Amino acid sequence: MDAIGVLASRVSADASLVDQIVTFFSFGHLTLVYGVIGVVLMGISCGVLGSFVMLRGMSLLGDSIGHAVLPGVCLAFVVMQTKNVVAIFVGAVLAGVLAALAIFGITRYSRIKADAAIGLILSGFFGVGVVFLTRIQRMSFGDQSGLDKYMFGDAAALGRSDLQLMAVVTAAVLVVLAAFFRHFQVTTFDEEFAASIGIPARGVHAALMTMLALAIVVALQAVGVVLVSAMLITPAATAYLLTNRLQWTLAVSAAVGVFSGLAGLFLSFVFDRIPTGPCIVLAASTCFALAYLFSPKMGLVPGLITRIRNSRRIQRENLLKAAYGLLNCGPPDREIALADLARARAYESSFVRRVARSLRRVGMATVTDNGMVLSPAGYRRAAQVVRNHRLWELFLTREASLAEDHVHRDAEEIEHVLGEEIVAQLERDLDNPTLDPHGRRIPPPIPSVVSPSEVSSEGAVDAR
Amino acid sequence: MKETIDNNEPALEIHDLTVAYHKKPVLWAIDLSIKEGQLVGIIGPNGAGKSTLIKAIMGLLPLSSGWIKCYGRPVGAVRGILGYVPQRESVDWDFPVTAFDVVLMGRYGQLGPFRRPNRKDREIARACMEKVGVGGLADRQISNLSGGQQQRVFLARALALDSRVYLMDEPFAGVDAATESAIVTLLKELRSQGKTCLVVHHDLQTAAEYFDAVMLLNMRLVAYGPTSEVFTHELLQKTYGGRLTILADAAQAVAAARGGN
Amino acid sequence: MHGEPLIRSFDFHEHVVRPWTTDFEITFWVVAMGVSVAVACAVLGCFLVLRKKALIGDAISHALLVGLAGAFLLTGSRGAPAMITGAIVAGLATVALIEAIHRNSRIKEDAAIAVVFTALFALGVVLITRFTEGVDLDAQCVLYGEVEGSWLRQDDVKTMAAVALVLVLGVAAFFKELSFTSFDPMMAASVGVPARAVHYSLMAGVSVTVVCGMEAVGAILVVTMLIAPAATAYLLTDGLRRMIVISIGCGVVAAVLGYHVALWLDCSTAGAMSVVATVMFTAALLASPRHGVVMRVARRSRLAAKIARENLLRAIYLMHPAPQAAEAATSAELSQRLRLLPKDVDRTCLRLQRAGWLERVGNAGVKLTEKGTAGARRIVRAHRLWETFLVDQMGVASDHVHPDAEEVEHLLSEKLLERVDDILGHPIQDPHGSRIPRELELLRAGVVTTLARLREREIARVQGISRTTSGAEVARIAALGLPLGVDLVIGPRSGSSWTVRLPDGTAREIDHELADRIVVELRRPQVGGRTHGPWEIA
Repeated sequence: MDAIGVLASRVSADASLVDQIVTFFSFGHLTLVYGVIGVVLMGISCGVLGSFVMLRGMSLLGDSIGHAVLPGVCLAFVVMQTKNVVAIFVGAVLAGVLAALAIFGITRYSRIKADAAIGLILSGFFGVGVVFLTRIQRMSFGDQSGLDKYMFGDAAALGRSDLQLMAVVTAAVLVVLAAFFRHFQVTTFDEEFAASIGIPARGVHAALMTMLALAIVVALQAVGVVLVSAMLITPAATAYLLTNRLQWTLAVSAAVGVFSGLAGLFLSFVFDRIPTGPCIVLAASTCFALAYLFSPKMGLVPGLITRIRNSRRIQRENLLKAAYGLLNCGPPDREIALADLARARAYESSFVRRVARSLRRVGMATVTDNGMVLSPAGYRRAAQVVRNHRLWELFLTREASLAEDHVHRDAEEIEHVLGEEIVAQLERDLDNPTLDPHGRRIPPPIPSVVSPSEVSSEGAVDAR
Repeated sequence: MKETIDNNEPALEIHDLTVAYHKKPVLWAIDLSIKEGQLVGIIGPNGAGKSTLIKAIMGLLPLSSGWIKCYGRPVGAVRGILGYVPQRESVDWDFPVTAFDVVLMGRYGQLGPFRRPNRKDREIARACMEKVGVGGLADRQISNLSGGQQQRVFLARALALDSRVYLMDEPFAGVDAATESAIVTLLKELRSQGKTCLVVHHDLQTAAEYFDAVMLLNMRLVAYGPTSEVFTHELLQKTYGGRLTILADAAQAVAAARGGN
Repeated sequence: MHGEPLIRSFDFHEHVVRPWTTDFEITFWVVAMGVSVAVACAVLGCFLVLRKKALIGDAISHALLVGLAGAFLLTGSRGAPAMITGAIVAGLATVALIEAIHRNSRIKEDAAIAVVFTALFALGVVLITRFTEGVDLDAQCVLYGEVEGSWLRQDDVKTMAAVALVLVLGVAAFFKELSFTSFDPMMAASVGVPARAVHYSLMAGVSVTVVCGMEAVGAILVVTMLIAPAATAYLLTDGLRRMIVISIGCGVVAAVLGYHVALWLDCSTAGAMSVVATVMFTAALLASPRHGVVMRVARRSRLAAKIARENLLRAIYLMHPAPQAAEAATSAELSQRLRLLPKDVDRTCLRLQRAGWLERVGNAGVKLTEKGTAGARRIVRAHRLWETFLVDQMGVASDHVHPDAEEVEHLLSEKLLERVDDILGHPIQDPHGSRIPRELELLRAGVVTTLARLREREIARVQGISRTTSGAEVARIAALGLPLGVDLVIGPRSGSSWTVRLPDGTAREIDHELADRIVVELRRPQVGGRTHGPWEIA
């Protein structure tokens, strides 16, 4: 059982969940405090660095190096006979750098492609590590209690010297990134341009790889060898889905990393048998899933909602168009029979009724038992849509030389999404026309502004 | 940090330039001298080495032989004078930066390692964006820009570099007609300011109208000179025609023997 | 200090013989398991490596853990059917999730892989440690297995062997589809080959292999078996079928050797097998005849030596070009001309002597043998032809060509040179005015060749026309009215036309195409040109 499990069981054998939560947050126990500090440091350094790793397409490289440090850790163990923080740090960093160089060498000097090279180093180094590890375990020498923590991590087993090392590394990473932010930004975005203005792209890359190796070692104790890459990539990927500027990406990534660390630590404490690594990773993955689903600009669910909203709006506008046609230049406040509308657009009458009610909800019409009366706003919007449609048809026939009988379907779609600017441009290009290709009148522009809700929904058409 | 330059020297001079890519020679013995204030188009078929030439001039690729001088000085010594506009597809447009951030990158070369862009740099960046017609897009994330807008942002960045010689790799690729004419206008304005532009271009028809001088390239320099003289049927045949399989085969033999890929 | 050393001494009897005699029972089953895993992984791995999907295999092997845990929790059984089903579901879910993420958002594929497999693996560990008390489903074990003979169930071995057999048969049966979609997925899809089905089948195959091999080698080390033998084979051969066979071989060797290494070092068997496979890959990387690093370096130094030798031959030839030159070339002269140290010159001369290109003339120096002369002429010819090509066809300035041609001339094949010679119209002089030598074999009386290869003042007899002559060309040649079997004198070259003087005093002008088609017998070759000294060879 790992340290946090021991701690949890020591705290209270059968305390209730509430009691455990209280105990956790009272920070009474030093190991817990150390664990908290450790995961905060890890969240910051891995979050910030991982953003660059992910943006440079090096996600799996990080994974490979994470696995590859195992032999370094074991070797340090063999040499020092016990868990010595500095030795393990040195061993891990050396192994990591060696792995990175090996991957680079294989890819550059042989026909083996990058993915196979990464996989080879990952499993090869890890295999060596496993040979070491199992040998050491069977030899039962020295104090091994620290060693298998490196598989899945144990944040609560962090000692003072561990934390000091982590603090130094985190501070160093932050200082370097802050001082050279522009360099990292430009070389990640456009390496050739960066080289052309004199930024040493290779130097930046080497610095990044070195910091990667360091950050991996920082994360090692908390999440273990297998899951290290998750701490680099998952918070960064989450931030990537939520932000549009690099500075924010780094900040959000660090925040998600810290939050995951704390949440994972807490979960691991409450469910006392589970190592900290998987808990932290699960917390981070949950954040990612939430961002993937619900990110306002890029999430699946908002996208779906926008699509549904748009299609509803289009249905409403199509009905408005039909109504306009039926009014046929007569008084705009005449009642229009729903049955007529159904026939005009070949809809089911229940559908027409539903859309009419929807029109009423947005204030564009009033609905009676069998009919519908357009409100002033509804009439204006109807005219606008019809106008867009006929302008676009005219444009296609005149400028794009499409045959008259081909343009209708295209215009059916476009009419809903033309913004004011484009419509004005169209009019200018077509010399303010009055008749469409079929000889029908093009409704004149209506100067007053349509209701705000319609304007914004028109402008917010999903550009994707 | 503007270096002193001698305006009497040619803007760009290339002598016996040979470039090998993975041990395979792709450019053979290029000789060239370009006077300042010209719009030069680089024309040739796919795989002719046009992008390679640009990158070699910028110092991004090692030379197997020859040298390059810019206003009489070696290229490395005149960093700020050469401005590079890479191909649009060389960049990941999902990167979290706004259009303004990209244009501001053009000022980075002027700053040392520890200085940040100041207000003047930001103003310059904004002015450059206005000049190419993307002033209103400053806060947009770059994946929300159309192809033409992206190209204009790249050009704004190049303007922000304030170089004297511009090397542009396919700036007209995949842009709409309005953007294309905007780019041409910009190039002509640069020329009137005495700047020199080397532009890799793929369309033979427009090349004849856009450029003062044209470089016909296909692994070696077929011809260089004023557009009217060089853009002949015979020379174009030579550039695009097939006698060069031998050259490609020889290059392959060299690469194999040297142990390249 | 403790008693045991980290690396025990190797005892042949204990570690190699005993397993196969006394402990045969145990050894057989463990090795059988290892071999089955190796075979299954090797056939799958070849396609993964070629399709650049090696890391998805890695991702699946981690994510399976959640499949196993889930299957156990749902069915309460640790039996093979439940485990395999759980594995397949988890494997396909992994692939589906990765695609969903990177196709529907700006997240790139590599990041998607990292996010998905770590999430699933973490979930698997949590489920296992929390909910599987007293069941031998241990997360650590899953990583690298525990295939100590006593724990290995024979049924598991049989299952694995069956899986390996099915995979081999499957690959053989669907070899066309697999290779086509691996090489050119778009083209394959366009002719109706179900690329997606192939992809998902491969992934399902990986899932099944990993879960069945879990006990033996653990999840992460299956990754080695998937990639290392295939990568090794990739470096050793260029054919797909051979690659599969070689990778199976490598996998089997790694399994067997690994077992013995594990006995020797007393460590994890899976780890040892993985290390052996990796070592084999490294060996191939360095020593592969086609693609290995060592070979490449060796090739480069051989090339450098070849260039040095040929430059020496050429230097001697240019100094004393006549075939029966009286003077020999001294070490000092050569050293100065080639700008090399005398001892390097002597060393190269010695090598050339031994190979029969040179002969020593007392203390005076060295002379070319007949073989040496032929070789030297070949180099001079290549050099001058190439220079002429660069200047004529490529417009390279003539003062640039020398250094360039200096290297390329050594690397051009005879066929390539023939094409260059033909394109240039069989030129006589290079840009500097030096004559371009022809092959020595051409310069013997009685040789049959084409008219285009002859030079001024040579005497030849027309024998006929080459088989590749077109009808129109035949007509034009006939119109020339060249008599057969009569001595004709070749006149000077004018532009790209050959002049031929008939016995009756008249002359004919023949262009390049026709000259290439007229077959002649050389009666009197011309030896001795005009331009640079009396001994410049034609």
